[in-house]
Amino acid sequence: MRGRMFADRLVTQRVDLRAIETMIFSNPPLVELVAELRWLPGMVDSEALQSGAQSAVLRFPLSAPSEESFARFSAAVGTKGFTMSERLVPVGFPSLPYNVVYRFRKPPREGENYLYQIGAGVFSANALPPYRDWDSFRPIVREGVEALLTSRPKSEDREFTHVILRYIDLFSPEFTEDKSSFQFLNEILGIRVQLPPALAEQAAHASRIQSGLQLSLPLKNELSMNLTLQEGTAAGKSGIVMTTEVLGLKPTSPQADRVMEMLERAHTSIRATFLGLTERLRDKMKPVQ
Amino acid sequence: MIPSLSITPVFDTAATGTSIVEIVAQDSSRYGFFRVPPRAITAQPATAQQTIEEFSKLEKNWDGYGALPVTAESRLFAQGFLAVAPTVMLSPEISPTSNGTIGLEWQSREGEAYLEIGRTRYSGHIQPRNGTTIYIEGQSARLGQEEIAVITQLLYAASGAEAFTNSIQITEPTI
Repeated sequence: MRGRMFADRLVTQRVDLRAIETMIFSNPPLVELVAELRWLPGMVDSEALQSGAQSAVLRFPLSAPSEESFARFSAAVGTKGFTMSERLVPVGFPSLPYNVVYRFRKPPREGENYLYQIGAGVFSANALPPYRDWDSFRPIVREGVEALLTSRPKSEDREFTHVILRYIDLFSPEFTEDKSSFQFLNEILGIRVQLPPALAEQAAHASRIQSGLQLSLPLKNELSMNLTLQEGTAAGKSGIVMTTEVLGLKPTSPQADRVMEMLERAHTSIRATFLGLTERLRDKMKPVQ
Repeated sequence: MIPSLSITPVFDTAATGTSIVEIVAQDSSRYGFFRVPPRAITAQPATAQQTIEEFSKLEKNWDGYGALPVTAESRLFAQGFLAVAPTVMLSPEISPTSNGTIGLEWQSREGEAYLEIGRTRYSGHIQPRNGTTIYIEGQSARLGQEEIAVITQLLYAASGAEAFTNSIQITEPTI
């Protein structure tokens, strides 16, 4: 009976979540949203590629990222308006695996702040404020992934070892109302951090206790979530920084549909987490839909 | 004399490597946070360094089956590699082999990796729990950041293990 009541409550909660699924906020705490792909950089043994074997050989030092593939990517995203490029690693300098080498932006335009980044074994599509919603960002990500798939060198044309979606939110004093991080976690986000008597008896006051949280949470659907909450500064503003990252635990086939499917699942998970944790902040985030 | 103990949270920047927003610690002396570079040498590698140093005492036939002594070059390259490895990689299992090489083995929730470092070359493999086995090889003298980046990515990316890793240094007082 008790179990059933609990299940009913869960169902009700789900319905509530569905009702606010399309909700967007005019004052979100979002600082940055990153959709990121990683793969094995450098020359992977060609025989293994041809035979479709379950193993591959990486010879170090890895071959330098191909300027040709960067040029192909640049041309592909250029047709989508991302015509401004910035090289982050000087020509001739060594580029470590998973380090960004190029960044691409659109010329300044009101209402959009997206960019692509590419490097040895790494690609990302980033969204910055003013960010509207996932529906607006989704096609940007897809176009970037498609550009990547047509530009990677054949020797690297393998599965993505990691597909990652990461949200970085900053809860500035506007959201925290000057509560301590300990209070904010407990009273606002609903993450119960309870001090044992040995500490509670000695603490001066809860408003002065600083606290953080780091969770690595394997999810039920072959995804994994890393959630971090710490005091810090992001984009020049101080407050409590929350990083929510969801990634697939299995490699993802190098097809745009498969990648987007993985990102959709990650987004669903992060959105449910965000909406659940920030329920008490909803008014401050100013829902507009 | 009582040794002093300092605990410094260490965070690997790899997890946020593509973020373009600058994120820093409010107070990095208290909270390790993003953009804090991994420390080059920690208690774990320091212990590892000593373990490897101990291998110099192994003489020929140290295993009773005709094993070769561990070469000085193998020790040097293994120590150099571990000195620059971030703490996120945790301390590997270190063992001498009968060929005079040194074996390093890491295990994480996401898989395992093994490197055998010889006088001139190294070889090994990375076995992610889900995914292709990656065989790796190269020159021992060039063993370094590239190998670290790939091993870290394949063994520790999903667990966010760096967030739980502390570098603990125990040092004797200088006075």
